[in-house]
Amino acid sequence: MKKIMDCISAALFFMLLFMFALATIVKSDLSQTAQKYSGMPAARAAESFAADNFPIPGNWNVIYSATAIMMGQKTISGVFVDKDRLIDVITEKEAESYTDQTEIVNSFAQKYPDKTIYAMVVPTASGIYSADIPEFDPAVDQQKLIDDIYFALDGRIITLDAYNPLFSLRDEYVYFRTDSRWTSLGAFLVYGRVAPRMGLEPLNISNYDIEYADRSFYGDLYRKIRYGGVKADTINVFRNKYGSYVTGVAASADGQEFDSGSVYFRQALSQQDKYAYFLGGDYFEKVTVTTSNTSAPRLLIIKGDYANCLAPFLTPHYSEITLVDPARLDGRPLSEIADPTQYDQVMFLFDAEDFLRGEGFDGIAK
Amino acid sequence: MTLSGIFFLYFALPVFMAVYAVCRPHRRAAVIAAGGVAVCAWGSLWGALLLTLSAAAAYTGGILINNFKEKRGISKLILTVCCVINGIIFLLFSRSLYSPPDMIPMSEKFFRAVGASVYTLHSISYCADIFRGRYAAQIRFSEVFAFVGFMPCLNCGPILRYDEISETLDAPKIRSDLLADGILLYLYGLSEKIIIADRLAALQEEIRSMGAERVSAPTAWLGAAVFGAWFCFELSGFFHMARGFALMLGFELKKCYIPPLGSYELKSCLTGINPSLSEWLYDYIVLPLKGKAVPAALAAAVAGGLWYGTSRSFLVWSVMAAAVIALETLLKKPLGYLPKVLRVMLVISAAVICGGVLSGGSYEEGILWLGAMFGSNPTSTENTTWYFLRSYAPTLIPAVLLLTPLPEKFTSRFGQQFIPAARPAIILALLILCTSFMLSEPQMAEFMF
Repeated sequence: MKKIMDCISAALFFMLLFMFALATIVKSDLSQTAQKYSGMPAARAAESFAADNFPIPGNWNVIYSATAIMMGQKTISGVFVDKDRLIDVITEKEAESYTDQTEIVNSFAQKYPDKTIYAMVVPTASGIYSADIPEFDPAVDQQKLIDDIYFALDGRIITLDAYNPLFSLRDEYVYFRTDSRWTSLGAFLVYGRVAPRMGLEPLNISNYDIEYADRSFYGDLYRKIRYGGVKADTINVFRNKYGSYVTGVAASADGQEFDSGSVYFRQALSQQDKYAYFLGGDYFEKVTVTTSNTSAPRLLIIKGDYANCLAPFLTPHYSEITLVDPARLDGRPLSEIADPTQYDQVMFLFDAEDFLRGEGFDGIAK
Repeated sequence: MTLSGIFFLYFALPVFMAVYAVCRPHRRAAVIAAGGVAVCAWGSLWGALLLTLSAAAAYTGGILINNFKEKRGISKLILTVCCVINGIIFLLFSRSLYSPPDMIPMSEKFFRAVGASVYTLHSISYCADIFRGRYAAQIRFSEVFAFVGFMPCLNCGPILRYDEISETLDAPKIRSDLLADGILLYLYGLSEKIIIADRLAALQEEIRSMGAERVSAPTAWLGAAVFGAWFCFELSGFFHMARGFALMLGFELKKCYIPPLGSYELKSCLTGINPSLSEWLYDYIVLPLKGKAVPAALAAAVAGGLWYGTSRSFLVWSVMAAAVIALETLLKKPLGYLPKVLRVMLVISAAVICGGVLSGGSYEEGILWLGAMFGSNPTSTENTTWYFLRSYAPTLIPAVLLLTPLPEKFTSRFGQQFIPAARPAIILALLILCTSFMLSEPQMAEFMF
């Protein structure tokens, strides 16, 4: 009996190894493999190949995250697992690198002296819920960080405070639980507070109907660590009771054009990244929203992901809003995608993390 | 190539086992030698050359020592040459990833040769044992090569003696019982390493991230204790994986890890976590210096420290441990009157204090950490000790239990009844769990030499 069990054990073990090894090879695109790992030492390339192409990666991640959290680990792949939310922590080290970005914004302001320029750096959840992050995890004080960034900006740039409105309403559903971005409610609350500083009269919440577009949204942080212990998010949409001002949305990515009649892309709800519901998420390099308020000024938003949630609230106040994602400029100058001289106002709208990363900012400077 | 990597488990191991199985038994030593070369070449092609040099030194040295056994002067000279060659390889090319190799600044210019801490010691022991007449020189090069670069042990040990495996090495046989035991032991070691040790490493990293200048005394003690536990699991994990892999190949290696908690002396606590190294140090450093107790103990301590890492922090750690062991020997009688629980507590405290110097990572941080343990940051307001204990209780409690002899007693009493029947299920569960951990986080093998 023991011998049979021994043979079963050995056969099972090697059969599983063989099966997964074979599946790894079959799953990989061998024609692209050589290209992908060229330049790497052979040993490293082989190890990366095995890890990258291993079958059912998401499922392994689910087991790992559940076990690691059960064993007391609080941070997985840089994501802090709080009681009821996942938080992408911005560390003090990451927060050191904003000088290049502020210089680029300042030089942009000098280049276009006749434009009204706004800058809004929105804190991420790690800044608003820093009290929930234990002392040992060196989360940066984002209020101070944003103040420092604003202080480094040219005096003629109008800075917009998103920290205080979000912090004072932190118990509301202002950030997604499983995503690194803010909710429509968070964006609306900030809109209400910054609009007067932009010379706009914000629409009251009574003007909107709140629609639940999706109740099972698992965001980028969930997809990163696959921890199922946090409740799914809902995607809320603020719809103007008296009709939308939006007359058309034109978007472009990789040389292809897309049109839509709404700032909310319903087809995105069937995709993995449902945040793309808001103006396509970070997929498009340029999105232009035209409105029925034709006499209003034109606004250019140079943006990170957070702008997609806020832009719909600005549509009543502008005839055209163009959003350009510098991270998708791929080395091209901003003026090639959207000429700032064609706009009355320019807004730099980034969350703290995107601003610190400064991806594609070189294109703004050109 | 590390025994705890996804590539080894799913690709290298099955391929190697397939080649090993189809070879005739008397050719298997050559397959093991080739496996050793592959492991060393995996890090750098020059690594394979160093292993070959070390094996060639052992083989040639062994035959020459054997041939000149009547002329002790010549054979001693040959042994010295062999030791010098291996000593140079060890000092320049061997280092752990844990702390920077600041002891021998020159070594930073050289690449890190995988397995150099193990095969150099094999090579020296082989020649020294022939010199002592413990066994005769082997004339089959493949067997000497297979012993020096014994593939399962190259990552982190255990250190072997030639006569421990020589009989099997002639014609190793794959046996179903050893194969099944080996798979289970390998997976057990793998889970110790990547599930427990890496969790403790994550906790230690969180504690360390607060900085030695800021941390309060209780948290500093906790950090040092967690480091100690991690250190034990890291070694134990690799030793069990090596023993398991060797069992799959048909080699029954002797037990190479004794849980440290419960020891009444620091000496038995430290020797228990790496008995093969302690025996090597005793046989090849302490014994030749017999009659010179202090230099022998110091030399063994320094060599032991350097084996774990050619850094100043390991050197200070080993000298501190040697000093405590010397004190223990001096106070043996009065200590014997103390209640056993108190003696165990004293040993744990001593081990944690010694480990404090390693807790900081670098030497400078380690010294600061040691200071923090004794209240050098009196104004520290951080109060995370309880938080860490509470959060990581699900890791710390089983870890502490596994560091005691209790699980071993339990398995030796009940294991034979349940393990054979449950083995396929245990293997499946451990394989799934280990794979998920290997794929989901970067592998940290700090003591993969």
